[in-house]
Amino acid sequence: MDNCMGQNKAQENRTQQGVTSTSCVGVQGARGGLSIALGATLKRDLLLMLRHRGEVLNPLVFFALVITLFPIGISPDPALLTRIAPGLLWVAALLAALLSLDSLFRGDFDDGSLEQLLLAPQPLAALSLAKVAVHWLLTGLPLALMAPLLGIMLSLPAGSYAILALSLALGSASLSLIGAIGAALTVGLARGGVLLSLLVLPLYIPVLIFGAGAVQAAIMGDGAGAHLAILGALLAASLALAPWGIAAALRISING
Amino acid sequence: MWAFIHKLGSPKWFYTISAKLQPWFWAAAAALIVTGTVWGLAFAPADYQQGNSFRIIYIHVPAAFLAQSAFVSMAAAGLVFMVWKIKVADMAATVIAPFGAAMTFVALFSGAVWGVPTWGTWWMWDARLTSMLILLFLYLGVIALRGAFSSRDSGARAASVLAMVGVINIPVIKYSVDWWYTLHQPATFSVTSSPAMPMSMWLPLLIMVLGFYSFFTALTLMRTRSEILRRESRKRWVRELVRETR
Amino acid sequence: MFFHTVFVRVYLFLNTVKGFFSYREPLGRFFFSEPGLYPDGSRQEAAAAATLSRIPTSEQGAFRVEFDAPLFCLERPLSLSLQARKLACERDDRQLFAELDVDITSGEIVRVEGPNGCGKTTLLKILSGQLSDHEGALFWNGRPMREVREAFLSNLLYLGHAPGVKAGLSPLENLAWYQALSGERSGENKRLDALENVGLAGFEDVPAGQLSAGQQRRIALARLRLTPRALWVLDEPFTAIDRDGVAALEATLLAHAGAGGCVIVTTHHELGASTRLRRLPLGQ
Repeated sequence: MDNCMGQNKAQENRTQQGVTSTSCVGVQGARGGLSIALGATLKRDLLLMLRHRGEVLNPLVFFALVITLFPIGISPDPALLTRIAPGLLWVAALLAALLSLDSLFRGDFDDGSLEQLLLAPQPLAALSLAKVAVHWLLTGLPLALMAPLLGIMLSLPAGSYAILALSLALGSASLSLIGAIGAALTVGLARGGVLLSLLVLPLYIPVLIFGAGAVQAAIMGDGAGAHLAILGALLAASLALAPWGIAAALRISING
Repeated sequence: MWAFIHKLGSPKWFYTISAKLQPWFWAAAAALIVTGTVWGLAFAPADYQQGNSFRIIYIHVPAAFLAQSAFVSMAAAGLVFMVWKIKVADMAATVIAPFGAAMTFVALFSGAVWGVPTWGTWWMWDARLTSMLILLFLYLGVIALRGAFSSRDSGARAASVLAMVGVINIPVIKYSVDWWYTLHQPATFSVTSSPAMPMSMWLPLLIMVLGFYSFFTALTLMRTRSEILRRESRKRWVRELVRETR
Repeated sequence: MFFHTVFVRVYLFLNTVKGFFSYREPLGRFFFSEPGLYPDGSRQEAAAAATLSRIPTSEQGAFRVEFDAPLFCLERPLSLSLQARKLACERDDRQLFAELDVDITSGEIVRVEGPNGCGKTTLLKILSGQLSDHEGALFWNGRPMREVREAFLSNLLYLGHAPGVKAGLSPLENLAWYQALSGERSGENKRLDALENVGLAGFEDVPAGQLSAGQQRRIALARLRLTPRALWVLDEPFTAIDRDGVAALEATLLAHAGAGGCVIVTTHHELGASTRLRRLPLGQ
């Protein structure tokens, strides 16, 4: 109450002078400015995605649907399903992650926020990394957590569930990073969605090989450590390189 | 050195200098390819395992080499274009892309044809063929991305970025596919990694590879020249050139 | 001597590569930040009074008192300049402009004029450092743009055709993101003030998607009050704004220029006569 009154009074004062907000033109970007900007971008994107829950749920439903199609299309024979389950789960998860990729920058591009993101006095690579992190948190991670459930339906042997989830969690992070380059390249195009998959899918192949390989190795009892290590290495490499690619691609797309 | 690069960047200078270089590359390409073909098909000895069908190597291997080199040179041209804004580099990248895709297709097709006598089927998920297939998709992606932009400059820059991303990924893809292949088909006979080719088989192959590279250079020069004329058609020097040749 | 040349070449090359990726290292802040303009709370009032006294009385009269024009103070008011030399832009073989020199200093409102499709938006995008595929050079306070890009961006406020407002977020949340992007810690009072100033009091928590086009536009305009930036680049800011809002915005622009800031604007709305207004015709 007091606070409110004080504000009103101050406002009156300033109105009398014909001035309300007195502030200085100045250089921002004090130390810590980047972390504030990153935090706010994370928060904003999470908030937006959580307000449109459909966009979060759609890839998950798609994942479940595709997995349902395979036994119907091939055979319900558990022995056969066990054999092909690692690959099926990985391919379906990859496609589901791809599905949501197109909207990564599209909303921001359409309403002009992307221009403003590019003009922020912060490194664009870091800001775009924040956006990719949100994409992974709300797409890759849920897919990874859901995969063991679908693994049961494909009669995946019990010992490999943890490896399946872990490999998907690690791998989908690389997928989000690599895919974001493609999304950034196609965001300015009216029908970029199909093109996006053409650009991105060939680049996904190493991740698919080692991801599905990890699950396969876990089933065989070979130990999936090596595969997971390579997936981690791929993630580290994409973390180091992809942000620059995303930033360069966004600058191109904003040029139209 | 610096002045040289920027001079090379001027379309007019490139146009004149490439006119002088072009015939030499065409001549070299013709000589090498004819020699290599005749030598490889008629005089090289037949393979003790595969008989005469191995001779398809004289098409398959040079095409596969070129498919990969063309991608790398396309990415290099893209880098030059992005960093120094040299337009000729982008014109070269534009004309290399379809050529590289065509070479990839030739490598795939000859590989498939080779598969018939060797494996008894048109297609095997052989490591080399699989990587080639992925390379073809990468080429198609670059070409499609360039075409999708309404502004040529943006398309050029986008294609350059994608080519660079692709070129970083090609070794990763290649090694992971090799690894995947050995995991799934450990004991299959691989066509091209047959040990220690005798000199009489190897030399014509080398000649063919060199011939293909000369052909690639000559064709790239020629098509870049026409691309220059197309893009610079409003510039004064092109108009004068047209007037002179009439 | 030879090694020196090599070193210089390598340095230049790395700089070019750096420029291509537009990578700005944190150290750059220390080396490249502008000495000219600092927010300084203690001297605000005095400086404000000083700047106010510099505005010609005729313009002061143009302020509507209830409009609450913002006032920005500059420590060194004349240190602000944006220069473009020999700008040329070609879009797919169509020459938009060539040999264009632009000089903008403190206290100016530059109105970019010309028929549709003459490259007004492109020029604004070049001047705000968004487009790189043009010829010519940009200088901010006399220094090449590439060197001082971060300092330039932290002094720039750009409003494009699209308002940059997220339909799924409330006006308050929209502004919070912009505040944070410039590295400022959240100050809700400032945001509320800014929204009130553009006539959005009472709509603070309504999702922006439920507001009218004009109101969404006003959210974007609230950014003019939110974070103090010296250079405003506004592309058709009067679109979808009602008559009162137009007058208010016009006064805001004048006040900003009066306080030593500068404004580059394209608009089809005729701005009132002012000594600060300068026209930049394009497409002749």
